[in-house]
Amino acid sequence: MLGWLLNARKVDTGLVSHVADWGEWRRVTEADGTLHAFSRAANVTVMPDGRTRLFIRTAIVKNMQTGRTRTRRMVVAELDGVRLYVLEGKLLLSTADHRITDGIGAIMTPLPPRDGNVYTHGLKECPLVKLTMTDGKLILHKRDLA
Amino acid sequence: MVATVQLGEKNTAGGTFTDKTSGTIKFRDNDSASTDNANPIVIPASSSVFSYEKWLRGKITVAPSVEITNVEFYMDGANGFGTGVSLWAKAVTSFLTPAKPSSSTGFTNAFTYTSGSPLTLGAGPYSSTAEIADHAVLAMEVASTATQGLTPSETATLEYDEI
Repeated sequence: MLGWLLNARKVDTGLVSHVADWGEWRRVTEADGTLHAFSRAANVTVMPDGRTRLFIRTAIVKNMQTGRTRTRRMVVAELDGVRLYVLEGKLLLSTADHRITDGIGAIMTPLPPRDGNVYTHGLKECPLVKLTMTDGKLILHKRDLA
Repeated sequence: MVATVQLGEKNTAGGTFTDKTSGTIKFRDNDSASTDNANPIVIPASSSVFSYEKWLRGKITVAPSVEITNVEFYMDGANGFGTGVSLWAKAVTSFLTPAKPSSSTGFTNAFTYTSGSPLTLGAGPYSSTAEIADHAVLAMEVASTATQGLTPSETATLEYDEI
């Protein structure tokens, strides 16, 4: 499994220092601070180009009368305050702190976006942080990837 | 493993935890996790009465790979319980035996806690199998204008971050 993870990533950096199991997602931290999240639906990488975070946000949404519960999870990648949200096959680049049930799904872009595209829409205040789609992988970065 | 977090209700002086992740949370006129029709909240002839408090809390039963942070609780923003029925909420760190409030003093309208403005229960980090963060304490207020019967359903959300 670990070999698959290493082969799946786009950016060649240092050794893997930590692997976390998030159910359908795997989170990998490399020695140089590069963060990855992998799933069948999407691969997300955050380059260590500033203050970074990568976490999974879980909502236990409960109907208090029937007891029916729906657990929803979205991956949140962050670089210098710019966040990439990945939820149920859609993505959003934002500086806001979104919750899973705040209507974020209605303003997200379906995956996969087109290869080679750089998404900075709505983020004119953070022109240095970019989201690039390359070889089917989403990379949040500031450095030149070429 | 991705962490498993239960949403539970605590009752009696000992704070017995009952997993309600897939169960009904029923506001009643006694301190019980039961969902039967005993001990209903009786609509008063005038003014209003309160249910016993519901002390809700998250509990890690399968530990996260690293930690859980940023535990929050919120409703959907619209009171769907009907005329004369209010729901109050507050965050409390230490458990106390669920009581029947005499007023809403110290509480806030639960429906003001939304995804955009949630009730913060704890920043964490939490990494072990245990109850986590503050309790979300809820109490239902029923006024004389309420209609008898089971109230319409409402949705509550417990949200947290995990690495």
